[in-house]
Amino acid sequence: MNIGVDVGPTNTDAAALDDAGAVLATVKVASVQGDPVAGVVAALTALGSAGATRIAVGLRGAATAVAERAGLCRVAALRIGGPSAQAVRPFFGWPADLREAVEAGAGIVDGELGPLPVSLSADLGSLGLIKRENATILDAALSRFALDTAERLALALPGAAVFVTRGDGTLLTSSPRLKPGDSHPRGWELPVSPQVAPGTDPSRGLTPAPQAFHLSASPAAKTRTGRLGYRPPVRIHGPYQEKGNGMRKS
Amino acid sequence: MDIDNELLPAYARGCAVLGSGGGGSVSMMRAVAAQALEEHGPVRVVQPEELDPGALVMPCGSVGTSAVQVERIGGRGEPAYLREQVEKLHGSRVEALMPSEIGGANGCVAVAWAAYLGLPLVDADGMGRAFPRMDQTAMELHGISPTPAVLCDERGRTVVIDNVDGRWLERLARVALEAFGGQMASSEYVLRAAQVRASTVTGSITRAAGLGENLPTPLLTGKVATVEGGSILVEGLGADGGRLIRIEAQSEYLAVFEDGDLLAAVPDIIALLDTRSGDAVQVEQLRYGLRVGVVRLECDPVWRTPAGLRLGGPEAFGLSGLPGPSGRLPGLTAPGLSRPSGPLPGPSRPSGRLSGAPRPCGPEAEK
Repeated sequence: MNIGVDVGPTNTDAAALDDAGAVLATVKVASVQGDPVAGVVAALTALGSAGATRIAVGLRGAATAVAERAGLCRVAALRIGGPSAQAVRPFFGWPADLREAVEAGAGIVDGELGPLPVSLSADLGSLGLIKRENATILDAALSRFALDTAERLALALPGAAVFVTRGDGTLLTSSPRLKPGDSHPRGWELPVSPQVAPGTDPSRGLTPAPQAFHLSASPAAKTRTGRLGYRPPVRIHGPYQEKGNGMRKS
Repeated sequence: MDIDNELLPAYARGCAVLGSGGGGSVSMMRAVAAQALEEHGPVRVVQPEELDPGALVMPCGSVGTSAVQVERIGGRGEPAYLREQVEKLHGSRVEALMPSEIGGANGCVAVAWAAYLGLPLVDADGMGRAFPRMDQTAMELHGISPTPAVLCDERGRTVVIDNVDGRWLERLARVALEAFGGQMASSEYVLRAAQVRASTVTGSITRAAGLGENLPTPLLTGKVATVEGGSILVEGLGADGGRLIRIEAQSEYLAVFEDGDLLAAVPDIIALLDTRSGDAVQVEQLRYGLRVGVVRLECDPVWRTPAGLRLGGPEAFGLSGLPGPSGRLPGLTAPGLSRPSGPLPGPSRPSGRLSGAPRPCGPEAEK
C-alpha cells in the first residue's frame, strides 16, 4: 500500500492507494500551525497506515520559513572566485529583511576551505553564478529546519520507506550523499530552487512557496549509512537532484 | 539626465526591448550596474554637443555569450584597462563612454563601467539595438575606422587589433574571443565628440529609458505554441484569438510572419514582452506556454539605407528575398505555418556580440 500526504496551510490531506494505484481511502485533517509533522501523523492515524509500504510527504515548510524569515540559520557566504567573479557581491539585491535574517558575513575568496559541512552549489543550481549562489545560501539557512523535520519524520514513521514529493508532483527515492571515505555529512540539499532565490532577478522578486519540502528515508539508505557508521538515514533533496525512479503522484 | 538606481530598472527594461531578443543577460548586467551605481553614485548622460568637440569618446561593451556571462560575471578593472590602451593609442584622454550596443546587456555594462571610471555616458550607441557582429554599427556605415581596437579580459590581458576593416576586426576578434574563454571586453570605432552626432545612433540612452517606462503596443498577444530550432510559433489569445504568427530567430528575433505576410523584419526591432511582467523575453528564455506580446519597433534610419540593409538587414542573416513589411511572400504561405521550418540557412554564429548560447531542445531545456 502506498500513502501520499500533502500538508497545506489549513488542512493535511492523505490518500492510501493499493499497488495497482486504486484509491483505497482518503482523509482530511486540520494542519497544526507551525508543526507540519504533527499534521502528517494525525492524517496517517486517521487513515490507518499499518499496511503502508511507502509514504510520500509533501510539505511547504521551507518556502514558508523563507517567506516569513523565520527559523533561518545565519549564513556566512564565501564565494570562491577570482578576478572574473567580482562585479556583484554575495547578498547584493536581497530584500533587506531577508538579508538581515540570514547574512552573517560574506566574502569572495580565492583558496581552499578545511573540512566543514558544506552546501555545494554545484549540486543545487543551474547555470548562473548569482542565482546558484543565492540558492545555496538559502539551502544552508534551512539546514536546521530540515534536520529537525527529517529526524522527527523518521521517528514518526518507523518501518516504512519514506519518500518525498517534489513540487512538480514526482517522487524522489533516496540517494545517499555520503560516499565512502567521507568523514562527515556533506550538507543537506534543500528544495530551494534558484528561481525563488531572492535578489537574482529583481523584476520578479521572491516567488512564494513554489516548491514542496522534500525528504526521504529508505531502508537502503539506512543500511548503507549504517554500514559506514553514519547516523542520518534521511536525505533531503533539492529540485535539481537527479529524478531517481520517480513515481508520479496521480 | 542621470542614470541612478531609481531609473535603472526602466532603463534596463528598455535595453532588453531594444535587444530584439538578444544582447546577453540583461538581468545579470543590471545587477552589476546597480551595485556600481550604489557604490559610485549616478552616471551623468550628456549630449555630444556638451562635450569638447575634440574629446575622445570610447565605445565599449562586453563580447561573448550569455551562458558564459552569467557565470563569469566580470571584474571591475576592464574599463580601466580599455581606457588606458585607448588613450595611449589615440594620444588623448577619454572624456566619455558610449555603449557599443544599447540593446541587451551592453546597455547596462556601459552604465557600470561609466560609474567605475567616473565618466559620463554620451546619449548614443553604435547600433540602436543589438546585433551579433562587432562591425554591424552606424560608425562602420559612416566611415569611422574600427581600429585601433582594444580587447581585454578581467586581468588586463590585452589584444590590440589595428589596420583592418570591420569585417577583419570581426574575424580576428572571434579568434581572440575563443582564446579569452568566451568573454572579453572591447572598444572599437573610437571617435571624437564632434563625430558622434553624425556617425552614431543618437538618443539611444534616453530612448531605452523612455521605452522601459512606456512599453510599446504589441502587434499580437498570445501564447508561445512551439519553439523549434530558430522558429517560434505564437498563437493569438483574447482579441487576437485565431491568429498564428511565426517568428524566425537566431541570436535575435529576425522576422515575423502571419499567413505569409511579413509583419516585421530585421533591422527593425522585434521584441517579445512577457505579458505578466512586461519584461522582454530573450530568444534563449523562450519556452512553450509563455504569454507574450509581440512588438515591432522602428530601427534607426541609418539601417534603412542600402549600405545599412546590406550590413544589418535580412540578407546579412541569410534571409533573402523578403518583401517589405506586409508584402506577400512567395513560397511562405499558410501551410508553412502549420509546420515550422528548420533553422534558417545562413552563416553559423557560435557566439554573437552578446548572443545566446545554443539552445537545447526538449524538456531538459527548461531546467
